[in-house]
Amino acid sequence: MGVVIVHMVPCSGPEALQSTADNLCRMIERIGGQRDGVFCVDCETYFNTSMGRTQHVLHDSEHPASVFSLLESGLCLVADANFDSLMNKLTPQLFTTKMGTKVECKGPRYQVEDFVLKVGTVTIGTSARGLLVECEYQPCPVTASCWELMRELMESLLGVPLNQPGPYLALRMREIYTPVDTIQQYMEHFNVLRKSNPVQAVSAPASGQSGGQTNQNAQTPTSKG
Amino acid sequence: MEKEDKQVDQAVDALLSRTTDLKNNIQQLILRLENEYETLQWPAVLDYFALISGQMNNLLKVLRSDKLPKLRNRIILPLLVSPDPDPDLQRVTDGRVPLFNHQAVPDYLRTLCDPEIEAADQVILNKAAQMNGDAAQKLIAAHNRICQNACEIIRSTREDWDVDATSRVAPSIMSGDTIVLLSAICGGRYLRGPERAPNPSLGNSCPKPMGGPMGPGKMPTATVRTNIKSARGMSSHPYMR
Amino acid sequence: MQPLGPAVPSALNGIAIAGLRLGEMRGKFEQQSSSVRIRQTLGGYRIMQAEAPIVEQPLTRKNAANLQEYLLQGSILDSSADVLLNRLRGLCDNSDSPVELFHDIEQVYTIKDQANQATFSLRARNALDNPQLPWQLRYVGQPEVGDKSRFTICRSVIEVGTSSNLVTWLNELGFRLDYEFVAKGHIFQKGRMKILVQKIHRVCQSGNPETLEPVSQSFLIELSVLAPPSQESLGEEMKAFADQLRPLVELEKVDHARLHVS
Repeated sequence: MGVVIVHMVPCSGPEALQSTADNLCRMIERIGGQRDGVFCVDCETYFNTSMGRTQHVLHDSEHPASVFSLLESGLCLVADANFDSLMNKLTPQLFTTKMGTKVECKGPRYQVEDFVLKVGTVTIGTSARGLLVECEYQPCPVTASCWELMRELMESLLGVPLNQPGPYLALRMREIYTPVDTIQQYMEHFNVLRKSNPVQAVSAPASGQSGGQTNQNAQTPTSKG
Repeated sequence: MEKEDKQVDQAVDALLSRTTDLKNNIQQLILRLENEYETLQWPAVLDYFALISGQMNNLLKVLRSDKLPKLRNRIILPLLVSPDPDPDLQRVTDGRVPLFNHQAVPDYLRTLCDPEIEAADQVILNKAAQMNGDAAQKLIAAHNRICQNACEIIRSTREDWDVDATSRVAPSIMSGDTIVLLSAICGGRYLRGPERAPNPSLGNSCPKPMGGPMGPGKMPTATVRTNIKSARGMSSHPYMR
Repeated sequence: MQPLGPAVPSALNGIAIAGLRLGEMRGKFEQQSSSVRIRQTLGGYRIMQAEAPIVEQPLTRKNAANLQEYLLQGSILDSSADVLLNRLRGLCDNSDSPVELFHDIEQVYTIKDQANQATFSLRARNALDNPQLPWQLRYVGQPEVGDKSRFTICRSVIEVGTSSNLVTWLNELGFRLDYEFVAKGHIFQKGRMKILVQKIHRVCQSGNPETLEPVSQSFLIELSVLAPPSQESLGEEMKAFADQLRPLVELEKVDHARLHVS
């Protein structure tokens, strides 16, 4: 397991999403990226109305045998694929899910030497909301050791400076990276995108996290559902 | 006439086969008794006896069957009697009958009992003819009673043996424990709070269905098996066949 | 099969730092990531990434196999347990390798649903002798009723392997610990049948799995198969096996509705 950085790409509007994504893909191919299929990270939200608890159930095509269950407090349970049948069993009595709240991030996956780059379009329900780029540096497990390297690559691809990692990752620079961290990063971005209006343009970020005018407390997301 | 002949032939063949089997079994038993008498166990000998008795039953069945013509009406005549050993006869009888002389004829072709036995038989028959009806009935009743008593003694002894066999084999199941354990696992009984599972003493050789911690009025019927029934299959009593 | 726990990422990292590509490690782990055994669902999330992630869609989710558990249960006194173990050893697979032992703690968590006044239970099982193995979260359904001709209990079961923060997760969702017990014993396998001979202990001090007390003087025996529904030949197979254990043990279909549950 390497280190993964998920970054939201600034877009001037939903119409520009596709063109920005295509540009990025072209740039990746220019630096030697081999297209390696597609990837998908999705998130479904379940509510327990009687206890008032929410859990987000995420799947990552990079870890196809696992299902991640993220709670409001940030606790993440990693389970195997049978977890989905368990959730099927528990809904609708214990948990309910609202239609149209499913968040998906899909797109092509590229392998560039020791890096894996993914360009994903985030759709909530049927509307496209944003663009996420994921960069994985496979050989190194500790974020602090390879942050500079990854920053260089991302800045060259995106054309914007990345001053610091996102709030979640910033606290864990010296720890061994785990797949749960990837999921948490995606969840951060999903929460931001959920709150943002699809028509509203997302301004260029000053930090690694986009949505400068939205609040920074993506660490403890409360989903609107 | 021919039909009868054919029937007789068939009957003789059947009798011959049964007798051959019987002869073989007896031969085996004799061989074992002679050669392996040091290691031979009583149950094995009993096996042989059982086999022989079965064979005799078969033989008698054939003899009693309806298809058999009246063999009583047929006689066997010796056609040639000679004092010399006959190799053919020896071969056919496996060396048991070397010659067919004047001594052999009455032994092998006998149709009546020995004279001594005939005389004893006659005495008994005379006695029976002299007895009148009442005494005869009393005798018959006494005879039946004795037979019943003998049967009773055998039956009770066999039951005693059975129980002995059971108690010697330790019971391996405590009925009710399955329920206790499953109540614990599935329902959490005996796992919360101070309640403990009841511990029926193991000296109980006749476990009742309520040995487990049943609520009042609940009888687990299908789940109870008594020890006696379970141990019965394990009994290796020699007469339990 | 060795459990692949936290030790593995460090091994991976150790080599990775030296500059090897992760792709070369792929082959080593692929064969180990195939089967999922009882309680030994692999800490898959750490290994799966070694596999080729060329998946167009995530694994089928909504139509995951609905497994049924076919079950026969019985008990045997402690004094006769050795005889049974020897007999099982002879009857079951792998009789030349040592018998597999297990020492698990199982906790049952329930949540009350105010709306329907129903209670849901989930079971969390952890191997005490091998804490690196994934925890097992289990949903056990009610046994199917009404089928008198079927020899075995049939109920739906969903088993999920999870990371070790399962209890915290359950507590945060609102589940509360109802009861717990420790099961210690032997596990045998014959074909697709699994036979457990286990001693059930209660935990005298909650939180301290060392303070144990046996619940009864018998071992609990379970013969079970996890299979898709409507497999009638299974019943015959299980019945034949149960007959081979008579009269030492009577494995039968215990009516769970009659268990006196407090």
